[in-house]
Amino acid sequence: MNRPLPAHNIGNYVPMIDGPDKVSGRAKYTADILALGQLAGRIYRSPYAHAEIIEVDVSQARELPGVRAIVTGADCDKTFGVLPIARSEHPLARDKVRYRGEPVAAVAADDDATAREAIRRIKLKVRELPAYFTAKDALASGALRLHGKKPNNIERDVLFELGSTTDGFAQADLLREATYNCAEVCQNQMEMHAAIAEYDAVRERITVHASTQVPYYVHLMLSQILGMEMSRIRVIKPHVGGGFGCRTEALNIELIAALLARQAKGTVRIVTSREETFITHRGRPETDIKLKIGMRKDGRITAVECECDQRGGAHSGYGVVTILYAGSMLYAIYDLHNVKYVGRRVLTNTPPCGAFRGHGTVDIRFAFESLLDQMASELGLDPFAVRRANLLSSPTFTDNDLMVNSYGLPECLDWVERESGWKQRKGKLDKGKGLGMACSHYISGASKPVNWTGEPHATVKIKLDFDGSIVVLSGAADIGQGSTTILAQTVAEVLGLDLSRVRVVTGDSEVVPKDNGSYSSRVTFMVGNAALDAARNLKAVLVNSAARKLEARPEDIECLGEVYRAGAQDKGATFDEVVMEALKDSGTITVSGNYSTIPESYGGKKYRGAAIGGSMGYSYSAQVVEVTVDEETGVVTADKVWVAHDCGKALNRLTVEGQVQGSVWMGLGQAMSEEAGYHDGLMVTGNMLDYRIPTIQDSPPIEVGIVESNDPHGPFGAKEAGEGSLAAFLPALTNAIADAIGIRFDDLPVTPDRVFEAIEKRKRVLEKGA
Amino acid sequence: MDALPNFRVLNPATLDDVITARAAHPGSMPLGGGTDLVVNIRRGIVAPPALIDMNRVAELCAIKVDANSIEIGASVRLSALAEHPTVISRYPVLAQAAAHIAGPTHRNMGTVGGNLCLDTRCIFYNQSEWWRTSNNHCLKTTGTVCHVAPKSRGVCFATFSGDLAPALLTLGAEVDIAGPKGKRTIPLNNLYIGFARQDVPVTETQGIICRCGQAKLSPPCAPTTRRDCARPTTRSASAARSNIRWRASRSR
Repeated sequence: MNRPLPAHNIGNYVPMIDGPDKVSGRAKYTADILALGQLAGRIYRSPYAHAEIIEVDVSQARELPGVRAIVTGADCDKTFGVLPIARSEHPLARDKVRYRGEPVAAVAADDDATAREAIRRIKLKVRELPAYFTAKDALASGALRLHGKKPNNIERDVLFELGSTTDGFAQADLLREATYNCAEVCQNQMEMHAAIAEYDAVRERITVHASTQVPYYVHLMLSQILGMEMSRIRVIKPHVGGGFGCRTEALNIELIAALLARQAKGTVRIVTSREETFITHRGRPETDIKLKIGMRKDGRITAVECECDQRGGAHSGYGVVTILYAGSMLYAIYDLHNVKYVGRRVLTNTPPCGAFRGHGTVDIRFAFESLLDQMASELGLDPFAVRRANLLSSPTFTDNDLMVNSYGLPECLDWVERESGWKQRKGKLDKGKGLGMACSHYISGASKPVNWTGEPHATVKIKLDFDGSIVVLSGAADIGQGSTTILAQTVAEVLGLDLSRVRVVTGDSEVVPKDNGSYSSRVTFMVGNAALDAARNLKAVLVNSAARKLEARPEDIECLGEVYRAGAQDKGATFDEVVMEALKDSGTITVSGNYSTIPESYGGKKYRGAAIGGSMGYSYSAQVVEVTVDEETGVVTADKVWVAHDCGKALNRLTVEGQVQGSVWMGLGQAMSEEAGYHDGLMVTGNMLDYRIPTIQDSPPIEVGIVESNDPHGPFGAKEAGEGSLAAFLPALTNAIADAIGIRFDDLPVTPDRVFEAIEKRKRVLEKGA
Repeated sequence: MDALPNFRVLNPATLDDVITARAAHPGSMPLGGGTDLVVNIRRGIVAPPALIDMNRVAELCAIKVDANSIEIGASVRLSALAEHPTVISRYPVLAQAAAHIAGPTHRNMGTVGGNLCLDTRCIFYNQSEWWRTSNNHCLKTTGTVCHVAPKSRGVCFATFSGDLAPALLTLGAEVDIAGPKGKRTIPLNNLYIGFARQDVPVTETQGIICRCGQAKLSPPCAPTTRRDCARPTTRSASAARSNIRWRASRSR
């Protein structure tokens, strides 16, 4: 007899299940959802950087035929914000405007041309105030406060010292201190922000479609801003074209659309321009870092002192979390003791920053790995040897109580060292060519979500009915990263079924269980574990009904996917027969699966905010970058990248490789060309020409090595794969440039003009010396 | 995404029709590939009531070669120029220049005439209407100050970015200009008369319709470029920064 085999997919190269819809253009994104009677929404934005509002005169706009609603700050006195402790932002500015581009009023009209004309007719009268466009200016004594409750324009300061840096530095053979500056960068996801709000005036309900990573947070904020019960609100997340963190909190766009829709008693669609998407921002703040490291001759780090100032923009957003991550994630990659961190998140008159891929960790990692490289070279040590001298041994808790159970960094180092030919090639390349390396890491979701409710961290439902299709219901927001595919894979794997049996329903609060959303690389870990639990619960139901049908004990039933049998001699029952048998008990079968993080992973209490950084598992990455520097033009070319990523277990090798390559590529942009520039607070780079994202032409071959450390808590052993490989690229690149031409770049991005200038400067110094 | 405002599109088939259409529609602008013009229209930088589509004028779409020269129609696509066998063999500098303009899709749309007659660019000018209004406009539009050089006293610092012009200048190209008073030929050098600096567009009162009809090239010569630029996107990053003042005002 042919032994039927259960189907397997985990660890394979599995194309994304929503891929066909996306590549064929059938997939509907928020802006694609058109309906008769939809009103066009537009936002009037402040031309001023910092000003007291005297009057928002909308009278002339209101007179325009076709205008159906106009809202201003006067229509909503509530504030929003992702962190319960930092909700300082109004959907439409009241009393004050704090950055150029801040929404002040909004219009809904019969068509876009009318809405546009109405916006032109709005008059804003203000009293201008001094504005601060750099952290330094905002911190200067005598600077006006952007927010009344925040003295010195410090949104949040962080200070901790674990161990003693004085003692640590005393043990060092080499002390080095350097300063670093990383420019502000924007996510630039493909899809521009969009929201459609549909107000049902008869039933007093509202439905909002939003291009978001966090439908649940949007739901919460809609309730708060509209003053409506959550049961009257429905949030739908259609297909989303990327996010990278800028949609990790409810944005003013969806809230403004809802305010307009309620006033108009109709449906309002707002699709922002690329410029507005840039200004809505929530990117990575400009960061100034002062870093001091003490090192012994053998490369062992004895102490670290780090100061970090972030130019956060005009509102908090995730700011408090960003400045805390920057400190806490100094840990969990190397065995560090005697660490002091001083962080300041500064409020400035620029668009608000937020959570950008690699949240809080990237700029600090750039500084840290740069200084390690510099010190290794001074001590005559190989950069790999310095990393190896400071490895953690897992399982362990770091000094700030981060729980590290699986640690594949040693294997990542081995892989990139071997594959890049480091030992044979380092120091022997042609003139102008260089090799550099660096490491990075990231969390697999924050163990304690920002809105802590005590519920399980994630819940997944599965429905199975007469048709024999497995319908997975999850609130997890697929934003292109492939979470829907991972959920389907997880459930199919447990049940031994082909993926074609599984459908995944997500993104509609009316149907799916609540989920916190797609951020901090939490979905595969948290929701994956919940899906695993749900699938196992479903399997138990099916095994029980198979036992009854086959007149055997449940423990004797073997699940082979499409066949259930009692022992190898049994012909068994088909999956459909087993389902029919199970339906006799309960009708439509629904099972639930939950996942809760364990308290040990919550992070510490040793300083205020120490819980930020606590995660169930940490991913690791090591990279080697090979560069060519053209000393005549200053053009740096990344020739090749070798990257090894410890994701615990690659559930889907195709998407893991894609995520790792995408991380490297995004790091390439930040390292080499991307920079948000302002002219008196007005973003001059708010378009795809002036904000330089690398194109495919600039992308080097990226070789991905997958390291599987099998985390004891991860689903099938998996950890995060989508963020951890971003940070290492930046220092690996600048370390490679230093190897190539002997000049170290501590300011990002390393653009040709900067390289050229540095080379010319060196020439002048040499000539003077001669 | 801002929708385009209303405008008429005229589709003349001959050069004479173009001249007639141009005279009949004051304020109209010739449309080549639209890669620059349409973006500017969308941003509200220019608002021509009519566009005269030059792409159906057969005599402007051809590349004519004889033993000693080459004539390139204004509506020839940049990609067609880059791939033309005679251009590659006899005027490699021109083929290389064309091949390195923007990206492949832009080259498939962009035209020779359009590239030679590009509007000048500036980070304070190529921005949305909201942006320019918030910044009190600039010298190149309705403002009084050049934000690149606020003390420039009436001089606009927007820069020309047409990549074909330098290559054609090295070849001693001439351009034919057609208008209601007939056709005339001028050296390409004279098409760029430095007015861009004062921000007076290169134009003539007689209603020139096609500032570059056909580029005539002098006998083949073989200038060699010093190096091949394989990565135009990165390279142009520094070029695009040349008129940026914000860099200097960074925090450190």
